[in-house]
Amino acid sequence: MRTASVILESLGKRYDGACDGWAVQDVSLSLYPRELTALTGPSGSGKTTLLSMLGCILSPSEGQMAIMDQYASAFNESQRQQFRRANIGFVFQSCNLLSSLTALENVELALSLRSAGEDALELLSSVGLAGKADSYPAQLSGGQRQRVAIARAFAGNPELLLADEPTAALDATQGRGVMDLLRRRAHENDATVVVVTHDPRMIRFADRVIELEDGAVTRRYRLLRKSHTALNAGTPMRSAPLRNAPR
Amino acid sequence: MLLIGWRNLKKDPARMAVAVLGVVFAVVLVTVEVGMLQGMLHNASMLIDRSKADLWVSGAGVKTLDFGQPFPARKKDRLLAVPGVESVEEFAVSFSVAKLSDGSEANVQVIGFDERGRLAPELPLIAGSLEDLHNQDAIVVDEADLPKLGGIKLGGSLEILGHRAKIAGITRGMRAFTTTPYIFTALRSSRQYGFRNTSESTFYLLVKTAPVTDPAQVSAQINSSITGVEARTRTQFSWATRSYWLIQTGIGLAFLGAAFLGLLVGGAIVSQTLYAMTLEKLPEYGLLKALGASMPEICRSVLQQSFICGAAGLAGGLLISVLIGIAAQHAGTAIEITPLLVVMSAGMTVLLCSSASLLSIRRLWRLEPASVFRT
Repeated sequence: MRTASVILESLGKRYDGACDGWAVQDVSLSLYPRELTALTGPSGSGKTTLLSMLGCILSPSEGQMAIMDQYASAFNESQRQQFRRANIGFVFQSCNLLSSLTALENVELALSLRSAGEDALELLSSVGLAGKADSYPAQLSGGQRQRVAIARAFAGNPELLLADEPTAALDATQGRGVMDLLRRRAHENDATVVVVTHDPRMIRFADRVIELEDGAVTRRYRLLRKSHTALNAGTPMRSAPLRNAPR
Repeated sequence: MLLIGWRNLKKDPARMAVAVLGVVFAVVLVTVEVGMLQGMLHNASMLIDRSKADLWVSGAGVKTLDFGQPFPARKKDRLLAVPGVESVEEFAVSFSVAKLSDGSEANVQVIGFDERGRLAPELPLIAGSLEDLHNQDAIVVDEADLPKLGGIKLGGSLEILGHRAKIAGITRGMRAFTTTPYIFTALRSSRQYGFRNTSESTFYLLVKTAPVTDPAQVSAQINSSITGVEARTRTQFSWATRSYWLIQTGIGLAFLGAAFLGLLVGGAIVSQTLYAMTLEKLPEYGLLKALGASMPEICRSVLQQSFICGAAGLAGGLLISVLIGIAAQHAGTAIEITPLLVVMSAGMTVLLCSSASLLSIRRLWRLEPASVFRT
């Protein structure tokens, strides 16, 4: 029996002030290594807020969260900073790279933050960008920038990889390439990968899908597929809801 | 992490140039203003500092060398009777007016001293001879004052209070704080050239104390035993003269005020430039926070930017200040850029850069790592 790397119990986030109200409420779920989980839902459904809490960027207002056997919902700000630095890789929709650093230096930065001894060039090679090591972000296409960001997220081999709309600014081919990289990372490196997306074409890369609406989980299901190759060839997939779960 | 500050600057050379110029502006203004003040104060007490007298005795209440009050010359005998006093020489400082060769007039300051004595300040001659001061109408002037005296040359003549005065020597670096030309001459000649300068009175008495005696004790003894005069050690009178110009006239305040203003303006330029760069890079700083970079690490990159601009500005500012100092020297104005002033300018630059970074650091402190999702 597999052990969950992330366990959420009745997790909620409430914003005070102008946007007063619950952005995420009473979310309970488990995430596993070697799986890519897609968080989907309409705009304002709480996907990014949930991802921020999973990434220890925001602290939950209620509920409990354990990440890699650590009681993360009780972390203070300093502990959250240290935890995400050591254990979590991020890929963001935009603002992915530091514009004054080359592709290689952007990856090296993440390695230095994690005090990891990996070779930055190897990481760039793993995303097919060894030849662009000395290029600045402005000299790269959107897809190449996102690949550099993925190489940076891989730095230090984090157990939890979180991606917020990583394909939103890319065309379909580039988007598939990015999703394929993330999925392979989950399967080949025992990583727990969570991707926020509302692009139905990308959802098929996920092992599991969690749908959110108005801050609550409305549906969760596992995608069953024959093989990795078939997926890349665009073979239709069978989806089997685990349960239709209004929580 | 340490790379980022420098790379951000390198990517934005225009902003870097503005920040560096801000530091240059502050460094030049502070260094030149303070250097000029130092040079002026040095000039103000130069005659005292270069003298070999242990004590300077003036009329009571005299605040500065330039504004001495004549007192009876017979006090010299009273001084010689004070235990510990080895020798006494008269020294005169009086204002006067010189008539130049073209018929115009110029204010001058007549310095009369015992040319056979050994307590008066030594005159660094670059032309002529001090021996000629034994002649009745011989004077010595500084090379920097020659233009003010009608471009007169060695051997040329002036008329001071109706008496002929012939240039017997030319000094270098003996300019007055007030920029009024010094006319160095023998004591007896000074009596014909200077206002209120008679053979019965003197402006100062220079005292050499006996070996092994404490000048301060002798000074105290003079002040307690002789009325109408005030004895001060060379250091005390030097400081009294400097502090008169520095504090009582407000000149020091004006110079330091200008220097402080330069510091404020330079600081504001650097601060605003750095802040603009920080705001432009705010999403990237948010990204760094989200990736787990700590505030000290992020602060270091901002401080790095600031100190790179500071180092470049300090080097440029000091170079410009030295060039201004050399140009001023040729124009006859002393700007003293001492090692201490250089250290002070460097310290000021560190302070300026640290303060200029505060605004940016404060903004970054408040930046939420979650902001990375909103960009």
